[in-house]
This record gives sequence, C-alpha cells and structure tokens, in this order.
Amino acid sequence: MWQGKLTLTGNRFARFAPVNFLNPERKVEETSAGTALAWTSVTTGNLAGIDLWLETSQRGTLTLDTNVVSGEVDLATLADDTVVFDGGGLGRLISVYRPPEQDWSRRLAVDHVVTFPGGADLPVYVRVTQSDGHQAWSSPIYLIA
Amino acid sequence: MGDIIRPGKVPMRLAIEVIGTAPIERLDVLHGANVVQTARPFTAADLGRRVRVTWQGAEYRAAAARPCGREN
Repeated sequence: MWQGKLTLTGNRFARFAPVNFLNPERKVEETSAGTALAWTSVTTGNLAGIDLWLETSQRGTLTLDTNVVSGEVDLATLADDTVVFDGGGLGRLISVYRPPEQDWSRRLAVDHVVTFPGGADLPVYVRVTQSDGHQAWSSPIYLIA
Repeated sequence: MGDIIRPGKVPMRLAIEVIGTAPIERLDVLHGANVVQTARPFTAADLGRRVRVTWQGAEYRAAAARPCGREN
C-alpha cells in the first residue's frame, strides 16, 4: 500500500496522467493546481506511477512524500538518468526519470552475448517494460555445465 | 525462449526482437537476479518536459494459502 503526495516548487505541471492505475477506487487527486498531487496505490509485483508535463523542462524541485520512502529531486539536474529512492521490503522503490514527451517506438531489437562462466547454472532471460507500466518476462534459458 | 543448454566455452548469442502493445520503455536482460544489459528505443535527445514518477515492490511475500478445511 502506498499513500503518497508530491509537491513541485519553482515550476508547475501543465498536466498529469496516472500510469497503470487500474483500481477505480484508487485515484490521483490534484490537491493544488499545477503544483501538488496525492494518491493511494497498491503494488504487488506491478508498478504504478504518474506522468507530469512540466511548464519548464529543467527547473524546480520535486518533493515526494510517501508512507514508505520520501525524497527530493532537483529537476534542473535530472537528465537521462534515473533517481531512485529505496524503500526496503521486496524491491520497494520510487523512481523518477524522463520518458520522451510523445509516444515512441513499439519495436526494439537487441543482441546479447553471454559466455557461461562455469559453476552454478545461469538463467538468462528478458524483461520488457512498456510505457503503460505493463511488463512481460521471458522464460529463462539455463546455461549449465 | 525457455531452454537448457550446455554451451561449454562457446558464447551464446541471443537475438531479441520485441513488438509491444504500447511504446517500449526499456528492455532488460537478466542473469539470475542481476540486470546485465538495458536497451531503450529512444535517446536523450527525445527527452524534455515529461517527468515520470513510479513506485513498485511489496512489503513482504505472503505465506502460501492453506488448503480449504485445513487448520494448519
């Protein structure tokens, strides 16, 4: 269970959109126009989130306050990296990053080369995350001695 | 995917192609629990005013449910 709020100072968001909010009883509420949101959410293996479209790209501070973990992000320095706040438990964390402003490619091709180091079995597998928060996991290919 | 192989010292080349039902945010290749490669179909030049905040994970792993009618 997540109970959270975010506050934007030194900047404003022109609009926002929930990501992967599937429970109609849990919503994102705009508590202060253009500067603050609050939500409740449950994650049990999935992820959920919120997109913000800022009025100015590289300005202001985003303050996150949840019942699990809290933190601040300097938006002036957030580029193509990801800021992560670790909340303990089973992979509980908050991530803040910039996706493209508009929809982008639904296709991706990747090559991966691995040499078995020996020893314990090595499961090699793939996890894909879509912009709508949906994820797909492949079955593993086990490399064994 | 899904297989068991004995590669010896021969490198395994994995050719991956993904077609999503929505834009693809990231593709991670994992060895066990470790992410060893991440790919995205966009570059830093595509980024701008949009910022995403996500949360994930669970507090604990629930115990397996008892069979119906069993007390313990």
